Amino acid sequence: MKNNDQLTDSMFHIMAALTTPQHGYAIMSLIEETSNGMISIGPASMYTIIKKLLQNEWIYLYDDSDSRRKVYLLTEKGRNVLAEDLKIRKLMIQLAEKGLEEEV
Amino acid sequence: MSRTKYIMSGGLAFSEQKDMEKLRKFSSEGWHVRKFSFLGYTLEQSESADYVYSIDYRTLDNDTEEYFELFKDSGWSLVDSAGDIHLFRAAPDTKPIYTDRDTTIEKYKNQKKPLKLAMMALVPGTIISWVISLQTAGSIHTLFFGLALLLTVLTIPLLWTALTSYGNQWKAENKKGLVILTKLLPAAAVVAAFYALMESDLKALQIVASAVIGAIVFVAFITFLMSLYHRIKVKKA
Repeated sequence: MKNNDQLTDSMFHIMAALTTPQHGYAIMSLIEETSNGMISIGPASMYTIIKKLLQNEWIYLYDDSDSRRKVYLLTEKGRNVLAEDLKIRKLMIQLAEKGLEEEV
Repeated sequence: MSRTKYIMSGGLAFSEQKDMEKLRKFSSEGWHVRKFSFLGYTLEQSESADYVYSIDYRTLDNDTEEYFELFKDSGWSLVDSAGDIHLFRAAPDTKPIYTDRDTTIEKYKNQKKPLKLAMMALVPGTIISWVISLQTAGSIHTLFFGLALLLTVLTIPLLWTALTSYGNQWKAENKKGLVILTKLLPAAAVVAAFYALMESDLKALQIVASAVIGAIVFVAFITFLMSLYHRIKVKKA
């Protein structure tokens, strides 16, 4: 995943959750709860994406006192990437909302 | 002492999904997979239960704890690891371990990794052995000729497996044309080798062609036998 690519949905959801410090399973639970069970992320996908976000330096290891449940948080760089992506997603949501309103 | 039995794998690159369904079926009959064994799995008998199985490929350095804990929290318990291959099981309604396309593609990239390494060693080794054997005479020729032949017979199934593994990745990427190509290429290789066998007067080329045909037919035959065996087994149950 190059830095100028748009985030995948899963990456976006995980980064949105990591605006506050969380460990992997807490991220999964938060995403599932927030989306009323409509969106879920499997452990293999979760682990793959955590490694990728670390590699991109979009998140960092915030607390590793429990080696079984390491806690991560967005970096400054990660916050910027998320903010940029959010802008594009908002534009598309506006397009959909506007279109749906007009139809009625 | 619990009873155990061995079942063969269809080869994870070729039939991962089939293998997982087979393991589920055995579990429902009370035979649960305990560990990976040579080219297959060892099952152990206990009470029957409905379990689903999943495979992940991953090189784990030091942070194995975090990885396995994440799976455990999600309902997937580790059955066994063999190198970079990890087998998990869960209750049937558990969410799958991969939930999006991009990470599924990563999975098959990881599956390919050891095959790529083996190819990097075997393919140049095979070519060099052939070149040396063709340019030498006497005992050195005989030695390298034998080596080249042996390496060819090893390399062809490896190339086929690697090709299939690429096919798995392309399937995840939805590149259907390439997936069909991976199925046609082995057959095309046999046809090309037959042609070389018939048309060429070069003895060395004829022997290579025979080795190619031999290796592909051998693998195809084993695969055919195993799927036949699997089918008979399923019918009986």
